[in-house]
Amino acid sequence: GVLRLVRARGLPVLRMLRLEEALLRAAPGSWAVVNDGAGPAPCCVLGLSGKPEVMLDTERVRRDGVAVVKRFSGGGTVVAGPDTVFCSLILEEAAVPHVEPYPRPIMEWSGRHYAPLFAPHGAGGAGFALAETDYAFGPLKFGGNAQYITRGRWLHHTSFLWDWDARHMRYLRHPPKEPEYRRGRPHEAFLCRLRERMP
Amino acid sequence: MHRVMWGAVMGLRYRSGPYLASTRSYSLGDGVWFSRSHEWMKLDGGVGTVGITDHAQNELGEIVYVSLPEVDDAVTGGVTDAVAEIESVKSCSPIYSPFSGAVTEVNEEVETNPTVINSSPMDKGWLFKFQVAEDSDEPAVELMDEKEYNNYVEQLDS
Repeated sequence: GVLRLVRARGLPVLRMLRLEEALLRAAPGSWAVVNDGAGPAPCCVLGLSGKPEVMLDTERVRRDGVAVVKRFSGGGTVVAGPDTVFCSLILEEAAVPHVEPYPRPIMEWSGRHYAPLFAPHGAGGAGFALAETDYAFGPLKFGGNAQYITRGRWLHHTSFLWDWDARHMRYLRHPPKEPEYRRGRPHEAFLCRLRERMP
Repeated sequence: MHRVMWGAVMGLRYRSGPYLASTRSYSLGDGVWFSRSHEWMKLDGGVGTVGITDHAQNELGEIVYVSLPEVDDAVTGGVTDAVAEIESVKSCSPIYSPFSGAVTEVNEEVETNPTVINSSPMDKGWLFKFQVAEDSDEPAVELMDEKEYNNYVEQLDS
């Protein structure tokens, strides 16, 4: 099948998510949307059920005038900015019939899909792998994922941390539910930067 | 005949509105029917109860959130308009209805405790009930009986 590619640079998160949702719900076929950077200012992005008062330091967010956007997909909360690279795949089930349309098979397929790109930049105990539902080099996360699975097609989108500002991570509270491999680490000790590992 | 229901049954909370008792007949008989996207529907005298199957809850993983319709919301049969949405740890999925109609009850229990859907998908984990519309005689999606559905799931798992 044909994969249609939409390339953007600096598209604000809200516009990007609206585009993805419109493609998912109303445009037939398979699509990839790549957005290099999400506008000049940081933006907090919650999943469908995310509660700002639980996931964010709302006082700091308000004080700094940071935008808060809710996704139509599941998953956790991230801070996106000009150094976040987004890649969204909207695939017809028929285009990938060997991938069962459920969260775990999709996640595993995506790990195999991205391995040729990232594996050369990890080594030893810090090799590229799926860490539960994150992309990581060893114990350090560099990509978070979320999905929307509907009849006959599904969306899997990722925010890749090319770079990030430690000050922006203060907008995020430590999540009440964390992946096991995080082991209570604060954001600064849990995340890594792709620009430090890739040319 | 109109009847308004409120309160709790068997300790489970629900919201409901007035509904008409119906003696309509459908191309499907009363009973439990299953869709290819792993929703079940119990049809009983013109009222459908919808949930997701054990296969679905197992594949989705822990369910963390459910977005349910409101009582009296219109329901469109088919796969165009989702009636509810279920979120598991990283993923959201829409829930559709095979017939058109109007929502009569929603299961508040799954809103406050979504994991009921994991532990009791075919019973306590029901999502919503709806009155099938007068002009909605045929299901808008293919439905299977329990034996056909179990065979379908076996083929998927093999």
